[in-house]
Amino acid sequence: MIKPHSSLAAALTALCLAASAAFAQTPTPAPSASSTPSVENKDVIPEIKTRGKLIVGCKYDVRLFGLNNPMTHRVEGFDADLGRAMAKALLGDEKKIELVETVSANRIPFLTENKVDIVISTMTITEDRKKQIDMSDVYYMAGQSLLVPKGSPIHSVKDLDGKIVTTVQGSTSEKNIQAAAPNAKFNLLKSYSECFTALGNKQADAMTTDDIILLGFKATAPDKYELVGGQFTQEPYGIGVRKGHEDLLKFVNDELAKMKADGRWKALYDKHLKPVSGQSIEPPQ
Amino acid sequence: MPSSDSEVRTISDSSSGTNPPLVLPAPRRRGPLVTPNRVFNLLGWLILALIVVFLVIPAARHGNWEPFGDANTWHYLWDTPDENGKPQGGLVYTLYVGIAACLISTAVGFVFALGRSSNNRFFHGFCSVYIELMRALPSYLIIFYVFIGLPKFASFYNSVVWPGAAAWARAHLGAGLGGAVEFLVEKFSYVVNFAFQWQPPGFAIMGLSLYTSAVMAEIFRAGILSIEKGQLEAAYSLGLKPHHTIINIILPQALRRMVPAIVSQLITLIKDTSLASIIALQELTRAGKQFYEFYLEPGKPPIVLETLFVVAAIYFVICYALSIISQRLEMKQGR
Amino acid sequence: MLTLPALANLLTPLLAADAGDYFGKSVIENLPLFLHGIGMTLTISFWAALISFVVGLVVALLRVTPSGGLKIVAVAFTEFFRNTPLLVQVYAFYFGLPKLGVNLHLQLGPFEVSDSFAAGTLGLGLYTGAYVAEALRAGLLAVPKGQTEAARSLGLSLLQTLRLVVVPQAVRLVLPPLGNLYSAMLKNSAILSAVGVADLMYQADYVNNRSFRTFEIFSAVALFYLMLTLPLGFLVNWLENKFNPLRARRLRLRGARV
Repeated sequence: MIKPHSSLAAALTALCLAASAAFAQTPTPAPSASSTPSVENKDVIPEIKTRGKLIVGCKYDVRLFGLNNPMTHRVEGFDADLGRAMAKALLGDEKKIELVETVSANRIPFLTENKVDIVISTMTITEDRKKQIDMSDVYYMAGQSLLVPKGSPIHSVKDLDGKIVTTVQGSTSEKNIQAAAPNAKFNLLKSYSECFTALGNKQADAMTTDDIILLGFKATAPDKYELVGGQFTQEPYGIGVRKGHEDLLKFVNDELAKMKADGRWKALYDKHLKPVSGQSIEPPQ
Repeated sequence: MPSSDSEVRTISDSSSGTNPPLVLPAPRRRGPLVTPNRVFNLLGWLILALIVVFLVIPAARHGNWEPFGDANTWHYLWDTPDENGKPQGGLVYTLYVGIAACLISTAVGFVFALGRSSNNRFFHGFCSVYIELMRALPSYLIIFYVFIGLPKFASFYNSVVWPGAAAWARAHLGAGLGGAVEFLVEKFSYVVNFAFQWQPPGFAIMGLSLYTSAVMAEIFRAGILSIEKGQLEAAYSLGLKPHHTIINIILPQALRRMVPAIVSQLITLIKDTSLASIIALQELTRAGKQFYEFYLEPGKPPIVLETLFVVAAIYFVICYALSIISQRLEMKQGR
Repeated sequence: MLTLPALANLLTPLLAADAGDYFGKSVIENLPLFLHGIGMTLTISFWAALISFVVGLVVALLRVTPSGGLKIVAVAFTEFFRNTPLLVQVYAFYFGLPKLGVNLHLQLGPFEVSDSFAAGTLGLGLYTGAYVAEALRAGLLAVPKGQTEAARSLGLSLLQTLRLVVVPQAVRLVLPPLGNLYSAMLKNSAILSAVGVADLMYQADYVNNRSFRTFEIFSAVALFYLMLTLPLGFLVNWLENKFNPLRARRLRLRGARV
């Protein structure tokens, strides 16, 4: 029987050892740097064709982009349909797709570890992410905004001092709002739906994230909420592809360009986003 | 009423996860602590009636229970099928993860229990440290650790350890042995990557097993040590070999004594599966949450509490049934 | 044999690349945040412990009273809270209660209690309270019935019987399991970060989302939790030995650490 004190000390030693042995503590980029054989450029499209389905990572809880409908068991939204369009272009049938739920914390690991072929999940193109994965051209241009109950004294980011703002912990929106409104109080939760529930419960004075996501929530109770503050950031959404899968990246970019040109992008926009944004826009370039 | 007047005696005297079992060896006794008093009794029923009339009935009447009359809702909570009807989560995943973690941690726990009883100082120390460490940490932290740590480990393994070790083996060990090392390293990468590909359920099972195996090890140890020493001595004096003694004499009895504790650990596991909802495992809690979040439609009242109540009720039915089973087994042995 | 340069090569990614960078940097730099987190973990555990003890005591007394109605209420309470996940309960308090018009946000003079704190404390307190009730009840029932009957027949009132005969004995039986429960409660408080309670776990997540130095952050957090839970474990052991040397010895023989 070993004494509790020595067991504590031993535990700590073991922890530290396991620490140094097991995990990479690299600052970004992740260790999937180009020095390794597994990241060399590799044609992945033939593999997908033999497999017969495109595996797409998608959010399941974001209105308008990817929402799992309990009634139809279908993931609905712009991102999901974009994935289906990609599957159709690549494999000839939009049913040849396997959707996998991704959340913000696991979408990049899913790509780097080959669990999914592409990730379409309201992912903003940032320099940090580009170091770890490849990102396609912009498929939607969003911007961060504020959702408040109607009649709220908050009209822009400047009015947030001392007010409670809710958003998702670790999201781009959270970092942006902390920079834009340093004196606000933050109520950081795990998903946008939770944030919206908290806003509805008056547990926060405002909710912030990309305007189009906010519009989706606003549409559930149009007379109770309003968007204020305009777009105070630009959030270009892109499709994530694993580094080294250059043929897939090229295919995705070509297909996006085609969709933007031949009206399919517009059809998707009209179907999912226009009903809540109320305006027609041209595809982002 | 399984938990009214007979007290549970678990052999796991450990605080286990979010469900710490009681440790008091309370003697069975009949009747209340104090003699019945009619006025007091009447008052009690009155308070119960007030609670039912003013809390339960209004809640049931004013809640929006309409969505729960729809079979689709129950499909969603049951296994969250995708378009092709393939299960993606729900109660099925809760049970799957809970039971898988229970089986794995029973096996792993057995190994750790043996290690802790071993005379080898290294094994003893390692297993003791593991057990004490895991039991002192929040299971949520462990699950979280696996969730964000394992992908890093996988990519570290794939990009640094595997190629590094393979190159080193080729350069230093020659073709034969080096090739063998390379082969092993490559095969281990399948294990690492399989764990990764299997997520989120794989991660949840791993995280829960890490913690529960420590508790199980303690259950095993307590079970084995609960066998009277006389039996061991008798077996030895009859000329049985140590491994025969363990397999034929101690384990059958110990296992029987441990079953109730293992079942109550399964209850803890099924409740703790809900923690994995935070790391994106689509199990019952998360299915329920996504259900009420989906149900935000213009002009309809939100069904937050209703859904959470239904989810809680499902957990309750399962866990309560298991706890009754556990107590029955216990009583059977008590005889 | 693994040569030293080869080992160094393997470990390069572990050691910081830049000068001025070192293992544990993000923890040291954000130490105030982590300390706040520990403070919050302790605060919320303190209040939850208080709530759970009061609730547990009341429910335990209801369980041993001779009133059928109250007994049903008490049994329903303990069984429901013990057999449903803490997370679901906390969600119900945080996201659900406001839908009934219950506002948990409190402003008591200069003291502000946020919703998440109130919902978290309540959830953790009631959940633990159900276990505390069972522990206390077991303690009360463990006192042989003959003693209470003897006390009553000697002319002691019900309260006197409880105060002079039952409680002093029950306390000794109950303290060690209570210590276990509160140690488990401290660990369970990590769950409350899911509703935005700024405890240790929450701060770890927060720092991790900024620095992505996952490993060092969560190792440090594990260390912090060990620093909180291990002393409690020792305290429980000590209580065991102090109040119940016989039982402690028996358990030691059975090999279980309580």
